[in-house]
Amino acid sequence: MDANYFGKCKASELRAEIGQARKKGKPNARVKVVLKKIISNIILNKVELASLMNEVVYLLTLDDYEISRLCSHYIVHYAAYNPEDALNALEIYHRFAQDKDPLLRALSVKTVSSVRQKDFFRQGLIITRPLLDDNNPHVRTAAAFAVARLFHENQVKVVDSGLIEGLNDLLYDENKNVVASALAALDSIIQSSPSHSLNVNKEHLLSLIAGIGTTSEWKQVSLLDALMSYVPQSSDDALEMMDAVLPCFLHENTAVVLNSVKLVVYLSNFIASPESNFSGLDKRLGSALVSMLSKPPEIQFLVLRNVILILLGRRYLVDVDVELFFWNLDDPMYIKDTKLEIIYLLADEGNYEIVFRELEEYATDVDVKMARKAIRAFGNLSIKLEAAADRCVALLIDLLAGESPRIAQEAMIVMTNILRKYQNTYDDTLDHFVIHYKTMEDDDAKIALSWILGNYSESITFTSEALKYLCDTYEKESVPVQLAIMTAVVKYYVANPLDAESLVLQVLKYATEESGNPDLRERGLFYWRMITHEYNAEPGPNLQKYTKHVVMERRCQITPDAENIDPANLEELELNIGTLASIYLKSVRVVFRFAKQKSLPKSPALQERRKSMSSPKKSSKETNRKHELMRLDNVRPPLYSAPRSRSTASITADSLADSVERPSESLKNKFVRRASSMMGKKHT
Amino acid sequence: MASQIHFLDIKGKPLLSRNYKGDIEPSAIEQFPLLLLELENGDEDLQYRPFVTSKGINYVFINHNNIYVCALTRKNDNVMTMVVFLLRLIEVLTQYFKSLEEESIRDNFVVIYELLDEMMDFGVPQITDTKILKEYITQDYYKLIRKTRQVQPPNAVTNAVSWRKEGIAYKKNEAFLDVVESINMLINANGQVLNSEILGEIKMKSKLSGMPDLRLGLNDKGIFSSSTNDDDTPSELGASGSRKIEMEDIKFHQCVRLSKFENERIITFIPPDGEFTVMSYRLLSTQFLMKPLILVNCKTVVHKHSRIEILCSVKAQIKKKSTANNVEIIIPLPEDADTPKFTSEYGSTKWVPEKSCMIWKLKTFPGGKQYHMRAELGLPAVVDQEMELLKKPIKVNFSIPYFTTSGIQVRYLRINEPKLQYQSYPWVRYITKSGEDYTIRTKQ
Repeated sequence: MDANYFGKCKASELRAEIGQARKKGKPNARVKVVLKKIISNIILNKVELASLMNEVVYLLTLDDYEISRLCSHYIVHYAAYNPEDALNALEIYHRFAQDKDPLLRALSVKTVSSVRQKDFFRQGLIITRPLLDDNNPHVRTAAAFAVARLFHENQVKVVDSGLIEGLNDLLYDENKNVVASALAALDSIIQSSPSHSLNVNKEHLLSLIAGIGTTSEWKQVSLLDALMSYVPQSSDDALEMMDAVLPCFLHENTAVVLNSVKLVVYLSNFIASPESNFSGLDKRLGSALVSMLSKPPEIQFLVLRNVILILLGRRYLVDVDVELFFWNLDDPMYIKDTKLEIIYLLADEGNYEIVFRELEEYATDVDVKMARKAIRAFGNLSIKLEAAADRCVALLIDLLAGESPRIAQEAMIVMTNILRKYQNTYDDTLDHFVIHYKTMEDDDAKIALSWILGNYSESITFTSEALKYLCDTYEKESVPVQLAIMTAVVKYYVANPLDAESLVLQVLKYATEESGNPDLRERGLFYWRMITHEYNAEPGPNLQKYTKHVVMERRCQITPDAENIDPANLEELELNIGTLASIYLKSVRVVFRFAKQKSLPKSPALQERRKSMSSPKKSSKETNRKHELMRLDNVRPPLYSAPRSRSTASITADSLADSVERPSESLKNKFVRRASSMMGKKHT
Repeated sequence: MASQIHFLDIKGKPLLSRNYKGDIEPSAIEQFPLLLLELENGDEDLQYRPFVTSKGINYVFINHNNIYVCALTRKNDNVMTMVVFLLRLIEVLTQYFKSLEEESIRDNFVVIYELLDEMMDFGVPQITDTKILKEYITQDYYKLIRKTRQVQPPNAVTNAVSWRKEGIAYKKNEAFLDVVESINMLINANGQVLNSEILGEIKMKSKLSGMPDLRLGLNDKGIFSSSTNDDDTPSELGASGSRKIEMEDIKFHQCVRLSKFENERIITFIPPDGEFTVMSYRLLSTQFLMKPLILVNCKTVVHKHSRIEILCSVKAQIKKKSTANNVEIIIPLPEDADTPKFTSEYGSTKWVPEKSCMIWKLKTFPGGKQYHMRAELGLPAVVDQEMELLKKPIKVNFSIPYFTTSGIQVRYLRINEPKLQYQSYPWVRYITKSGEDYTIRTKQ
């Protein structure tokens, strides 16, 4: 048990212990004990131990790999605190680099390249070069990563020393595992260097593909990444590659699977109609994705985020059933949330019945938070699918009547969105909503209620009671609610001057005379002047004619724009499947300011981007029409046009920047929030 | 490619850290406890997620046994690789130390450092195979001292077969196969199946010498009629009429030759030594599971302010010859219920107030039989909110030996070691059990 050695020690004590150990005939066992004590102090963060450098460097020379290893660990950690004494180790490592034991050679190159000191760096340049040609694959692998480490310390010197060429040569190594490691090292170099890029030619491609079947799982991940650097010159080229990659879908390691999914999506850019060239491709891609959902939640989450990405861009490439994304009882919240988004994307005229039945179940979930999200999803769905709206409204009425007030409030908010899309379809049902006016307690719910009351005052039987109820506590409301109520009251007044007069007086009087809030006063005065203006004083049916004109504007339509994502963004994200950016579903530059921008390479085989959307066999005529309309803004810029300029990219980045703080915020939430914030402003 | 890996306690205090690249300050992890706190107290949109970004640094973490294992990166890295690696790391350490918790990290810090060194280089995962790692990293240093200079660089790591070392020898060469199918099913209150899936696994325990090449044959029904067979047109599929098993989402262990399977539908592999999962699959066809294997019918009558009555019947809808074992029916109860009275025809019943449920256990349950149970519990006189808890579904656990729901069968397992040519003995077992999600909704 190492625990015995764990504890704070003073440098002087340890120095004495080393001295004692060295006096013994066979010191190794004792030395190891001391070294472990030293290592435990690294964990405890004791800087003082840096003074032991000389002693530890001496111990390096003991002929024992285990000891050398522990010493190296110490040196890497403390060299920065005691650089002068650490220099003594260089000579020993130089000797190690030529030792006949491959483990020592690997240890030497690993350690020297890990110490961030000038002299170590220089030494690193010297010993790494020959080790790249070592006869032992283990050493070559270690040397390859050493090059990457050195490169990040000083790019220019590493390039000058020819190490990059050496690394390049490893790409033709006979051992495929070494090739994969070299590729991984190169990849990190390329990512941070503007002048380097990886080009894979056809011949090399074949050898890499051959490697996929014979290397270990992690090497396969690197190989698949490298294949992304090959630019197919014809559709056949791409098809051939796809054929070679598809077996990887069956791999048990999800990192391998997702990387091969990324590659398949990439390749489909070069094939006119991948799904018809490869029968069953959509099914296989779908099942590859779904199969990863039986893994731990962290993995599931990543898979789900990428499913969203692929659905947004390549709906035609995946054939999945919406049922697979229904909640499991024990799913953590972040999974359920993401699943809801996918359910929303997958819902169409063909399956909305099933989806609704399921969502209905969620809407009565024990967890109120999730229930509210489910109700929101309902609302969004009925905006997306006209056929579903009736059903949704009926359900909202049910929800309002039942149980929890929080759910009732959510239902009210969702209803306003539905009303904005289907303006006068549900006038008869509004009574069922407004009757619950007393349960509205949250600001958002009150605003929603006021908005409905204002706009539909004539279709509702008890507008007056409800508004009176709201006005009773007018002084105590928050400003947004006060504004909403004021607008509602004025609208009501315009429609029904007799009943509303006293309310209008009460509200406007408070706003203009008592309230200290400038916005409220401003709007109050504005209404006041408008209502009392001589043009509006004409008695009879034309009373308040102009006010009506101003106040009762038609609601602006809302469209399900959650599905639209900038195609340039989408293209970039598709090249980044499985990376952190795929969690945020934002342009890579927004999250990673210094990341290299990826875009599809030019090739004669490059196809125009197709509209994603539901697979053609399922979509009805109606949806097709809708998609035609939406197509306009989703078409790729013409092929071979000048490359997208930086400035456009940065504009999108800026406009998104306000939400960077909460990058995960779901598309839909944003959508709902935007809608409700617009509501707050648009009433007037 | 992770820059750093950390082990932290439940509050986010670092226990052990390893820096793989120099591009992030070691102090960056000190933010972690604050980020955790923010996640826990955050509003609706900032709910708990295993990924956080703060000041340009991404924290990817997994909670395991009250410790966090966390990877840091600055770049837009392949996060899937990172997560899979972290999970593997936990798995390896668990296999090394029996269990991975705060204590065991402190107890084994030297070994953990070494493992971290070997499992990852420059943030790129290298080896995550416990068997191979154990070849040259052991907990017991004294063993190593005796043969210090014999420690060799792990050949297997750079060999074509990275998951098996050479020179394994057994006196008796045996291979055990377990076909395990877990059933997930969602049943509504009327006993209709809403959705169902079979998650199958073929597990193997190999005790074979040398470098044996194995060939696993399954009955035709399984893999060979897979829908990915390109020539099948839909009409033919419909006309054939026979029960076709459409195996979806087959996943193989890394030792299985995927291209061979892809082209010839043959499963061949050189197995790792010891236990591993050869393949896993999922069947999503309601065609096998038209009716629930274990059907539960539960009627609940609530007399407000006084008591709740539950009438439950359970039926094993499996072959008469088969028997379900260790059947557990977990029925949710209101939190404030008390004074339970149970009468069951068969089996034992238990009230678990801390989980607000009752469990009805039936040790053995022959196919075709049906049993009843009655329960009555008191409710407090004071009005509670709504009886929301009753909406929780009933859960059922069971296992049925000698039986696979899908009908998949192992036809043969051919073992061929070209050099040694030994006699070997394959064994096969089958079992069907409840998955994590075998539930019956109670809402009427």
